[in-house]
Amino acid sequence: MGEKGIRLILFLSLLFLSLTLIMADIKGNTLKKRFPPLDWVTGKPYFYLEEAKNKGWEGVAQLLKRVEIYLAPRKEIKKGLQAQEALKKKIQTLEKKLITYREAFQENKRLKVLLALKDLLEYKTIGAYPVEGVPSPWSHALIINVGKEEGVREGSAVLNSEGVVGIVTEVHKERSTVMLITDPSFSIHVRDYRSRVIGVVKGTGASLCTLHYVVADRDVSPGDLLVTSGMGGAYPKGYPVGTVVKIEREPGELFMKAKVKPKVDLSRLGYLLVVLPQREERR
Amino acid sequence: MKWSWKKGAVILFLALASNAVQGLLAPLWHYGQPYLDFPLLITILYASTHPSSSALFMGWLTGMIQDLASGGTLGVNGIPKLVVAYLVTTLEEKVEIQELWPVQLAFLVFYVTIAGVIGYVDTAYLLQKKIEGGVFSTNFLFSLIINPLVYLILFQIPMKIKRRKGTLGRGG
Repeated sequence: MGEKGIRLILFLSLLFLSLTLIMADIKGNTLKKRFPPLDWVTGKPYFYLEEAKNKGWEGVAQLLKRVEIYLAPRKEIKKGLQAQEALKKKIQTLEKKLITYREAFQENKRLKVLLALKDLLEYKTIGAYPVEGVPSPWSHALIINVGKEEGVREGSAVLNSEGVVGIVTEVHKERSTVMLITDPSFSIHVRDYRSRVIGVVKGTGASLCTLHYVVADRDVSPGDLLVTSGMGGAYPKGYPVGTVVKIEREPGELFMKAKVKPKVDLSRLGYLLVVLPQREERR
Repeated sequence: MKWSWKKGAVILFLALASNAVQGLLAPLWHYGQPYLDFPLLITILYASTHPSSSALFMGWLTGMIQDLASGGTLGVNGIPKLVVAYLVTTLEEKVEIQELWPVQLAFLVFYVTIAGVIGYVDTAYLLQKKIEGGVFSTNFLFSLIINPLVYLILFQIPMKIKRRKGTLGRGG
């Protein structure tokens, strides 16, 4: 085959190759996606040269720096990547530690509040936390981690920093069952903090409790805070129980009907205080 | 055609160097200046001094590097330069153009036109991109004057001087 033939074949081959490349490029930058270095090269040299020209000597220096970075030995790049990987791992470990410390900090804060409360109360108390049972519409009891050994007795009041949580109904050696304020069998003697009117708050099995035995014409309004009256001796006097949210006074009825929202958020119970019976203390 | 490392290196150097010059000159015609295609001129120069298959490869490579460097679609500049290199090498054997200025100028205008039309067809029809002014845009018409003139001033006149002194021969 002569020079002309070779030239024609080369021409047609290169033409075909170019057309293939164009078509490949039209169908979504296939080449650049498959060969990332191509994407690095594409379009940048002209840009760098133009930039270097516009910036003068400073631009030339920047261009040389870019070339230097590009030609940096692979070992150094590998070393850099390894260091980056190590730093990432360190950050992950530190983040885990931070979460633990944050949790400890929050716990510390809660305990401090509880401790302050313990000091304020004139009653002898003991710290506890729930170990079983999550309050829900179907369950209104909890098991706490203290029992007879710690001096807990049936009828011991259970409080937290927000208000009254419930009352101990069953005591074992190292565990006790607490009936929550929302249990239908629960009742507590209360006083309206503003008007001093007294009544009884009972659980309903739902999230709201009800106020009973308050004569219809007594001064009780929505928003009033109900606190323990101190009658019976189980609960410390003046401790928050709940807030009146709704009152219904029907003609002909002797007592009003009032809905009370417990001060305690039963879905987020943490550390608790169990009030030991006063008689135990006196003994 | 005989291939050698030296010839390959020269082709690669010319392709890269012409594109580097093009990159440095690019800001000159960014703002409505007539378009000068330096890699095309180098392709014509190489093809006219080395009318062989290597010229086709050189033209194609120069165009592909130009596409890479400008961020365009691969082949848009490669095809025109390949075709021009093919035309130059083919016509160079048939017509003696080096000694006659008007013929030489006419051929240069012809090459630039061919390159421009192919580039336009590539862009407008294959890539479906709109080109302002169409194939007869002001830039394109100016390029028909500027490119041959630059070619003659930069390459043809020095070559003629050298030829007179008997220092340059015809390659192949």
